Formats: sequence, structure tokens, C-alpha cells
Amino acid sequence: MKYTICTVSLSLALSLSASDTPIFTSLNDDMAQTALLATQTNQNIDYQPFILSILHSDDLSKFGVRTLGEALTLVPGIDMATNTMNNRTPIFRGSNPTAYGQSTLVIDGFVVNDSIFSNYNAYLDLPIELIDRIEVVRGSGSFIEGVNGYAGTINVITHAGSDPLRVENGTLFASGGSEGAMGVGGWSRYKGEKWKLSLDAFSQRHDRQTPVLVTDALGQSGYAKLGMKHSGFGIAYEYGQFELRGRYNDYKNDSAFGNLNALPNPEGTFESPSWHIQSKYTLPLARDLNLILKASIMEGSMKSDSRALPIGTYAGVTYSDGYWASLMVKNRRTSGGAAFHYDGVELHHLSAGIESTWDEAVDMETFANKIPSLGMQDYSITSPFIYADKAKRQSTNLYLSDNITINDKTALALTLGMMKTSDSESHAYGRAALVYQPTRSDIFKLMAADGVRYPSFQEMYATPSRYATGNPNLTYEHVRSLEAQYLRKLGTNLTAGMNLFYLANSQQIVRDATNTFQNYGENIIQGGEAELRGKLTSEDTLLLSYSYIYGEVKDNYGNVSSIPYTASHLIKAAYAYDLTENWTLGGIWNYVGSKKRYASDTRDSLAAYNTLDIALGWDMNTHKGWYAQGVVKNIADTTVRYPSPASTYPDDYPVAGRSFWIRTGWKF
Amino acid sequence: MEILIRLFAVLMIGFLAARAEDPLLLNTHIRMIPKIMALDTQALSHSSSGKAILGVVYDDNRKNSAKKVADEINADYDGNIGTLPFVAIAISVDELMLRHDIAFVYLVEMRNSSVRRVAPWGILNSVPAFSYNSENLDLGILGAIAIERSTVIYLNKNVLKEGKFRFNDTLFQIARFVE
Repeated sequence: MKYTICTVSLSLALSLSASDTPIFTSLNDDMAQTALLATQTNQNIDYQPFILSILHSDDLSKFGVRTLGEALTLVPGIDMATNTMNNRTPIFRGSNPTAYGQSTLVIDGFVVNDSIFSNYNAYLDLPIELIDRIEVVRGSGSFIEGVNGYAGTINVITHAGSDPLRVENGTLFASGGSEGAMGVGGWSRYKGEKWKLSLDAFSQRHDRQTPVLVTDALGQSGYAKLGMKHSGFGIAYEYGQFELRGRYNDYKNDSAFGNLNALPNPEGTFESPSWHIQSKYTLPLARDLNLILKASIMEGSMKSDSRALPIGTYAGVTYSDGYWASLMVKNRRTSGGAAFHYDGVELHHLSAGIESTWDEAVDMETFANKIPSLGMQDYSITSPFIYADKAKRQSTNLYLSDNITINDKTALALTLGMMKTSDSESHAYGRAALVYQPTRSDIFKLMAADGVRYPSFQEMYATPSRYATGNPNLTYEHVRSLEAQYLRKLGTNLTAGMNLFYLANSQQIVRDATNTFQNYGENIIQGGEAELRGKLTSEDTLLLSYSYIYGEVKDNYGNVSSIPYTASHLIKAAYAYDLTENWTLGGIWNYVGSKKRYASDTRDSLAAYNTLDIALGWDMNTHKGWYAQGVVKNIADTTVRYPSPASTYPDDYPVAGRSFWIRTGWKF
Repeated sequence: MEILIRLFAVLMIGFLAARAEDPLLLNTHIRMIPKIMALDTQALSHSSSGKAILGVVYDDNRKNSAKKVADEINADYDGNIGTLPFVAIAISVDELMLRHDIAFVYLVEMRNSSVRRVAPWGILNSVPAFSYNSENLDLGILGAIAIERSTVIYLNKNVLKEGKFRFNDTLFQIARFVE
């Protein structure tokens, strides 16, 4: 069908009768309010100037998804990696898969990446029942105002966040299953005339271990323990234009594969508790001008307590009881900022802001039996595991953005900014995105961006050890990206899409041959994603995608090799069908292609694998009352392995086999 | 504006449970469709009762879905939009073909074959037909409301001419035409 835009003609702007005026005004108000709600809740994602995926918890539950981390693996181009402490991180389109901080996790408007690793493993097991939706942007740029994603940004909106479209006022839930998995939790919302209060809390655990025997770097065999205990709560209070939010998250996992690549004692733990409080006040200054003031504080710590090496002789020292270490570092981040939003220029939405952040390690402990005859000693001053006194950073982010509606078919989004830090180089960044909708059903997007990731405290200040050595001279990782997207609306609820991307990543932070972090060469990553999402019928929900990623690593000497630890082929299929009014059948099929290794690693590529999950649910569509679901994950009991570096675990990190669990809940 | 958004959200909340359609889109339709009907200057000419009838049209087994839409419209508007008295009713495609008192129709999700029956009926009887699914514009339906970068009222230009519809010109100020 040929499509034309009816230009508003003055000749049509006839005088309105008295009775028509309120209707017309009311109609206009409805349109404006719907558009605003759609933008606030990202219901109109296809028209946003990003390559964006939105995962709604109602759909995720029907697929059989239990946690935030599981949900992220449904997003095109995203794979998961881990390290020796099972400190997991999502990998976006192959962007530096050996480094953390490639993506930013934002929960209810707050960045929860920690300062030590720049990671957010402690939130990946957040129960899906606490989440309303997950918005994932692939590519760099400021999807959330003032937050600069590098390879991607994950925006989690919990039920404690504002959600005007949610029917239920709360949910209580419980789950249990294989591997000693159990969990309980709930959320609830209360409101008065001017205020709103939301609360959530949960506690969960499992006793998972590797599905197969593993052999460590010392030749020991055994099962690595991958269990965890996780609890937390969140609170959100709104009064008029004032918001106060806080969250406590206590995550403790087993020492997994050991921080020195040797199977640790079974009781070894790695803890990463954190809390944060944020406040926001929106002050209307004029009809089209708002001032937004924000302040926050976050405190988190990392504590590793384990026998890192078994009985033996290392570097000429015999440890008759093994080598034990108890390491702790606590960091604090305080932040404050102000932003202006201005809509007074027709067809423009302008925002400008400044935000300053202070990160510092405020406490550190290093206990170890370095001299076996002395037993555990305090080396916090004489031989710390991280230079905590140097781990300080002040950052200032200054930005200006404009969303311009050029005409009914075309919109342009621009962001320019400057990031200045006290311990690394400053950098200007920017992003431009053009959205063009030539017909009702076709949408084209073209995006270019320039972004950076600043090194974590671990990468800069870890003291020399077998694990890693920090490098205070590191500078930021840098990405220049080009992305294109074509979306075809196949129906009101069904969209097909094709994305192409080209990423030039330079100054990548990796460990060199001496295990020291370095800014190392350039990665060129390119590829495409095809996806289909929505509803084929009114009874089903579908997410289907194929991602192709091809990357090359060029080192400082000009040697080129394939990008390591990245699957060139990813296929994700999630489908749920309402068999009857009460019964819903769902499932996920996930294919992860083979992954190459570094050129110096003589092992074969890590083999491809695929997993199939099946979920059968009762009343999963309800918004009031009971629901229940049983899920079998990885029915074929495929051993899911994440890649390990050379000279560590020769058979990589096997992290999951078949499991099952049930959950039930009551929505009210 | 914040208060308006909250009010709008509150009005929508009662209608969100267990629905296959996109709730924001459907509730936007529930709010806007009667107002568009009120801008039809011929709305009262189809009925001798002095009350315009808004038909929420369904096929197959979607009667409940259509009835919920009609009930919600009636609850929201209490029988009047501006100076226009009206009532919303759920009506099947088969029944619609036999009726001559319907002033305006809104199609919930339905088969293309059903849409193809309603579209010429609307043109023949000068009854404006809007649809939940904007793809139905391609099948000869007069209008649809879509949520894109902004909220868009689409009107099919050819159908508008063919059906001799008479709307208050203010509607044309904010609509986009397709042909």
C-alpha cells in the first residue's frame, strides 16, 4: 500500500464548534499521554533510536526463565562467560570476552556494576518474579540518560520501580528443585493520594556443582562447587516529585574453580554484598523546563575466603596444609548530579546534565599463610592483594542530547559528552541515530557511536600474583561503532528485524604473557542479527533470533587472529503457547556455536552446544490468584561449558547440566 | 502532565488482566474510539432511537474479548461522549451484516476473511470501521490507531472517499492518511 503523510493544511484547520472542542482536545491529550506512557515503558521500542530488546517478565515466566541471567541469554548477540571464581559476565557481540564491565547493568535507574571488577555477577540470579521488564540495548551510547554503555546496557525495571501498566499489587512466590534449589520472595506496592511505596524481598540458594568431573591446573580431579546463597530487598518511595530508592543485595557463591586455578576447599566462598540508596527530585522551573537533581551512595565489598592451593610445594615453599587466603576489599561510590530537560523548542527534546562520581576502596584485608610455619597472618599493609590506597577515582560526566523530530517519517537522536576521570585519560564521546519510517510497516535505523570503558580497580591496582597483576598506566577501552537496523512490522504484535554492526574496539584490556593487564591492540567485530518477536497468534509468544559474529584481534605487532571465546553462531528460540485457558506450554532452545581460543592456546576450539528447556505452567497468565509451573532445563543433559584460559582448566568450565524445578506464587 | 498520566493509567488498570492484545494499545483504543466516533457528523443518522451504536465486532470465539471492550467503553463513558448519546455493544460479523442501525464499528483481532466482509459493508453503509490491527487498513478498513514514536491515527484515504464519510475536519488535522 502506498503511504503518504497528510501534511497539516491550514485550510483544514477550520473553526471548531463549541461541542467539538473538548472532544478534540481530549483526543489530543489521549494521544500525547499514550505516547508518553509508551516511551516511558518502552512499549514503542521499534521506533526508538537503538537496537533494543525488551523482555517482559510475564513472557519470560512462561518460557521457564527463572533469573535475570537466564533472561539475558535470550537476547540476540549475547552469550555468557565466566571466570575461575564463576564470576559470570554477559558477552555482547564478542566484545572483549575476557574483561568485565563491557556492559552496564542498571536496576531501577541505578548502575550496579561494582568498582573492583566493574561487574554485576551478584545480580544475575535476581528472581524474575521481582522484575517487570528487562530492556537491553546492544551497542554503545546513552540509552539511559547519563549512563554510557560500552558494548551494551541492561536496564532492569523491578516491580519496585514505577509501572503504571501493572495490574497486580504484589506477588508472593516460592520455588524448589534439583541441586538443592529453593527460594522464596515477594513484592508489594502501596499508595496514597500523593505517595507510593514499593517493597520487595527474596532469599534463595542452590548447591550446584559442575555436572562432570573437572581437572584443574595442578592435575587434581573433582567436582567444582558452584552453589550460591542469595538474599536481598528493595524499597522505593515516591512523594510528589521526590523519589527515594534503595536496594540491598547479599550474594555468596562457592569458590568454584578456585582463584588460583586449583580446586579449592569445598567450603571456600566468594562473597559480594552491596547496598545502595539513591534519591531524585524533579523541579519544574518553567512550563517546558525541568531540573532533575540526583544523589546516591553505594557500598559493596568482595570477600574471598578459601584454600587457594592444595598441599604441595609452590615457588620453593611447602604448604603442608595448603595455601589459604582470606581477601576482602570494600568500595564506596558516591554520586551527585543535575540535569535540565527542555521541550520549549518545537520538535526538539533537549537534555543536558552533569554528574560527578567518587569511587574509592575504603577498606581492605589480606590474610594468608604465606609463611606456613606462621599460619594465617595479616598482610594488609606489607603485602596486600590490591593497592587499596591507590584505588580512588573521581569522574565527571558532562552531556548534552537532543531528540529531534524532523518530520513524521524521520527522527534524529544526538548525544555529545565528555568523561573526565582522575586516574585515566579524559575522553569525549558521542552518538548519532537516525530513525526513518518510510511506510507504516518499515523502519530503518542508522547509528554511529563512540564510547569508552574505563579500567576497573582490579585491572589497575591488583598487586602482582599468580591470578593477575594490575597496571596503573592503563587507559580506557575504546569503541567506534556503526549499526544499521531494518524492522518490518508484520502485524500489530509481530516484528521481524535485521541488524548489521561493525565495531572497531581499540586499547582492549587483556592480560599479557606475564598475567599483567595491558591495553592490547585492536578488535574488529562485525556481524548481523536476524530476529522475529511478538505473537503469531493471540495465544502465543515468540522470540527467535540468529546472530552471526565475526571478529579479528590485531595485536600490538600487527598479528591478526580470530577473536577468542566468541561463538560466531548463536540461535535463540523461545516460545510459549496457551494450550487452554489455564495451561501454558513454553520452552527455550539455545544453540551456541563453537568458540576459538587465543592463538597461543593449542587446545581445539570449544565445541558448540545446544540446550532445550520445557516448561508447563498453570494460570501463568493470571494477574490475580495462584499460578504454578514445572520446568525441566537442558533436557538432553548437555554439558554447558564456558571457555577457560590456557594453562588453567584444560576442559574448560563446565557449569550446567540438566536440572528441574517447580515454582508457585500468588498474585494479589 | 504527570497527574494526567497517572489518571490515564488508573483508568486503564481494570482492563489489563489476561489479555492477548497489547494492553496499552487496546486501552488507548478504548479511550479514543468513542471520541473519533463523536467527530463523525453522521453518527446519529443510522439510528432512530437518538442513540448512536458503537459495534465492537468479533468473529469465531472472541465474543468475550469484544464484550469486555464494549463493557469497558460503556463504563468509561456512561452513555455519552460530548453531546452524543451512545452505547457500545459486542456484535458478530454475521450479525453486523444484517444490521442497519450501527453508527461506528471497532474490530477486535479477527481473521482477514472476516475483515474483508466488514470493510465493504462499512463503505456501503457509510459506517466508519476502525480496527485494532492497523494492518487491516490494507484490507479496506477506514482507520486504525497505532503507537509509534507518537500516537498515530491512520485513515485510509481511498476508503474515506469511497464511503462518503463525514467527519469534523479537526480529525484530519491530526490523522495520517494512507492510500
